[in-house]
Amino acid sequence: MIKQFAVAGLAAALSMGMASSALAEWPEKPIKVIVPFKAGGTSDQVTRAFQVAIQESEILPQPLTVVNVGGHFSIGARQVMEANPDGYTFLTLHIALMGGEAAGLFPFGYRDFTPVATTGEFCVLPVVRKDSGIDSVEQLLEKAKDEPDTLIFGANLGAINHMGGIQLENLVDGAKFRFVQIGGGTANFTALMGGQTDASVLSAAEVANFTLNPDGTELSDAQIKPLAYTGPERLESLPDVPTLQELGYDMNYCIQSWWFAPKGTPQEAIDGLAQALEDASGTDRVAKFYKDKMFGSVFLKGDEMAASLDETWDRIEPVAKQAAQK
Amino acid sequence: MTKTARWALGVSVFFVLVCLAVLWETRDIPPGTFEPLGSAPVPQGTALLVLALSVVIGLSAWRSRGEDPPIDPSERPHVVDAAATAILTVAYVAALQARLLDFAPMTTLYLFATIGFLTRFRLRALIVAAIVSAAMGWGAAFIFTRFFVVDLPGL
Amino acid sequence: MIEGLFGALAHLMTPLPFLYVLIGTVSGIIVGAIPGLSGAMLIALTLPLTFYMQPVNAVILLIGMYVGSITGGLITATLLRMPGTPSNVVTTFDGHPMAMAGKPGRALGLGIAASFIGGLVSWVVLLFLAKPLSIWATRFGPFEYFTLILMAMVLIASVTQGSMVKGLVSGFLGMLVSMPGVDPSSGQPRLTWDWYVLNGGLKLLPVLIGIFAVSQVIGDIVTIGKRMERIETRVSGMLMSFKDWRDQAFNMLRSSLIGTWVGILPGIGASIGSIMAYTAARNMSRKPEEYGKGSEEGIVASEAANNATIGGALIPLIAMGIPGSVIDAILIGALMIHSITPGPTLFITNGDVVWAMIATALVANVVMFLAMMGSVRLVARIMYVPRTFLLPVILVFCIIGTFALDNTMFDVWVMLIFGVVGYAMERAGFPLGPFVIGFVLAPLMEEKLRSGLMMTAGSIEPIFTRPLSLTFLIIAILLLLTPFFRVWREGRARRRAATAAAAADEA
Repeated sequence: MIKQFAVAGLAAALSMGMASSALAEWPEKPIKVIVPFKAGGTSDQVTRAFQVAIQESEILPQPLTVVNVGGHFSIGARQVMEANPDGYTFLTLHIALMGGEAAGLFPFGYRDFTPVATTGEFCVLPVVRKDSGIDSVEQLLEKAKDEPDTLIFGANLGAINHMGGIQLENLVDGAKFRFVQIGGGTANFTALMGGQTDASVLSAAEVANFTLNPDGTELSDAQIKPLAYTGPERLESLPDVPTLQELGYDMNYCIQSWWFAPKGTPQEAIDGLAQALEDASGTDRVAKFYKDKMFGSVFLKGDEMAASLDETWDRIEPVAKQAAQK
Repeated sequence: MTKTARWALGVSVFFVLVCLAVLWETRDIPPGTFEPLGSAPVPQGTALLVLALSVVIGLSAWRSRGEDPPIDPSERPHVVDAAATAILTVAYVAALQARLLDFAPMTTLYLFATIGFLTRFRLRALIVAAIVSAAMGWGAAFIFTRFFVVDLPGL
Repeated sequence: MIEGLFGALAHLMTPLPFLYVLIGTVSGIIVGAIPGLSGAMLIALTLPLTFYMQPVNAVILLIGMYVGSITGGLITATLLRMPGTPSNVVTTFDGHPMAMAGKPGRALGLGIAASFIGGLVSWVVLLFLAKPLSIWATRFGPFEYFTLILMAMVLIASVTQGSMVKGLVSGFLGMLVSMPGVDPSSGQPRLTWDWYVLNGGLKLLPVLIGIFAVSQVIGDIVTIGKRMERIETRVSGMLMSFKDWRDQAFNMLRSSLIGTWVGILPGIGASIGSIMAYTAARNMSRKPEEYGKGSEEGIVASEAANNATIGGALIPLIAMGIPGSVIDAILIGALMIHSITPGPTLFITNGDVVWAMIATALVANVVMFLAMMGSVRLVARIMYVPRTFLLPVILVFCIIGTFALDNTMFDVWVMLIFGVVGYAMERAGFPLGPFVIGFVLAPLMEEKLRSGLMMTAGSIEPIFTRPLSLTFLIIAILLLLTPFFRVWREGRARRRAATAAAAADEA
């Protein structure tokens, strides 16, 4: 499925490469892309990879300027929502936007923006300590069911990894982890290493980084092991880790990078940027970035993206609500 | 009452108000679901401590006696300068936020006005002020937008 | 190890990398020395520029900035009482009184030498102990962190000068100010008055720039008529004499080790390292009464410790991929942009980058020392620039520096408001040091306590049963009692002197 998209995207990029320059006057000046996080995070890296690809391959006559708005991500998102919709202000964000809306953190959501494109996704892996005696997702959930509220699951409460944990719990009736506030990927890895927690979810890139040598062999003093992958296909670098779907669980949890525009942005600008991003997805720069970060190379725009957003919302809203109250 | 005691009285009244606002805002926070504490007790406890200690400070300032020794007229506080700078600064930041002018001319204007006021508009100082202001306004705009990418207000 | 280190050193001596160290360190010093601008801002803004550089050169540039900014901050802390970075707050306690007493060059000279030694000591620890220390640090669970932070928190009482009650209020107020925003331990917003802008809370740098720099600007404008006395005209006394070195050696070493150790622990950060070292120095000093009035030991302790936190904080970054400080988190971002993810395999996968980091930490420290010593005489003249010109320019820097951190105007308003609050507190005799401690530590302390409670389902028993946390708890209690003991001892000494004087009068 994803591969098909990628191939389609590539073909479109080749056939429409000329069309993009034929679009009317847009863009006449640099295009501002707001990343609602500090520089260096995943969203920032994705945005900058596209920024560089667009500039290197001269896909647009004007550069993208990346502006990092720190603090809570709702602040940067709101700035874009309220920006002048002149076609020169955009936002990149991910599922946290839906999580926050569902949890009631702020009174707006993805429907208050015009979707532009979806560029790439990363999926996660439930991990446990090696010496935990747990070897599969089945055993993990079994234990969570037999001894509910004892397995310590490290998360950043209300965030991506917490929602991942809740979706895992929901796979088996009666399974219950004890969620503990630990933080992001590195903090959870540290807590697992030090034996503070029993389980967590980490992104594919984090798992590879913490458990594999550069040549792909397993790191001898790695103390954690991944149990399954929440993406649609097995990972190239972790060929022995099954996907949840293979195991018969109906769970697919991938975090996509979304590009949004303020409502009222001229269609010309939205199509122009979507096209540029599609073209950039086909460049070596982005391909290498996806490979290094173990991203799936999905690309969506227009109605397809809108439909995918609605589908994600239906899936994530109840999970986020659960995360907010339990 | 000494000057310090008067300030202490004012500040402690302000702190008491802040604490009451905090206690009011945390009144509806539900108890924790992941652990027994929840989000409310720590801010509430801290606010109560600040409240109690501020009352102590406020009362002791209220009851305190003694006067400051008379001050040398040359060391009289320049309240007018402070007030003028405060007003100009608030106006400057508000104007930046409203994007009335670009960052560089706005900053130049602000610096020129403030330095001018502080030096009582002496001609020689004004000339230097004009140079410093313009250099600062355009220099900072150049560094922060051409070299570093900052979304300077008004640009 | 030797090969890696010397290879990296050799690389640093080639023209382009050396230029990067030079640019990084000098720009760090300059930015650190301008109130309102901070090292964190400089590094965050430079990060996107490194996209186009070789990863090794990017790291060299950024670490140079890191070292430079922490040292540069001592200049304005000493001369203008405006700490350039949060970690220089403690330097203002003694550096500024000494500068006001007409010895700005001497104060700077001591701070620079101490910074250099602090950097060196932590560098040696970094070189030899990186791996074992960072593995040890993973064993710190929430309760160990909680008691450790509690121990640091108790220092609020120790750094208080003047009224103890006012010091406590200042500390608790700092804690309170850190609490609005999305509560990490529940994912829910609190103290936001339903205003989404407050979801991100009140951030460290805007609040600190307001409370220290802006409040000082207000104070300086109010006393703008006052003339600076100009006493020191020669460089002599800026360079430490042999006797100075001998007197300060033990203090420097102890402060550097404290700084390194605190730097290793993620999240505690440079600001606390210098406060801890300062308190330790004062408690062990033979002249504790000089502290806060221009004590040489105080300047040395603070500056040795804050530079030592740099090397300390790099330890978990290099060995485990865990950022030890805010700036390290940005450094990780810089590596990630180049598809290098710090982690346990960093030594294997990107040995050149690791050795470049370690070598730069050393070379930047030397460059910093030479640059600072070379310019100290010139820099000390900032004291005598007409305040009517200097203060408005500093305000503009505070505004740009605060805005540039996160690109929001809200932070600028926060900074201005806290400038007024800080000024009012100062006039009312509230010490501001405790405020920083409370502000920096409270969020961590609460989060760790509540994480611990989540793990144990509501029991605090591990605090007393885990050996490390029990140790920290006992030290915290002892530290809490020290200032009271000191007050009692001083009071007794005063009474004795009074009786003796009375006896003498009668005689």
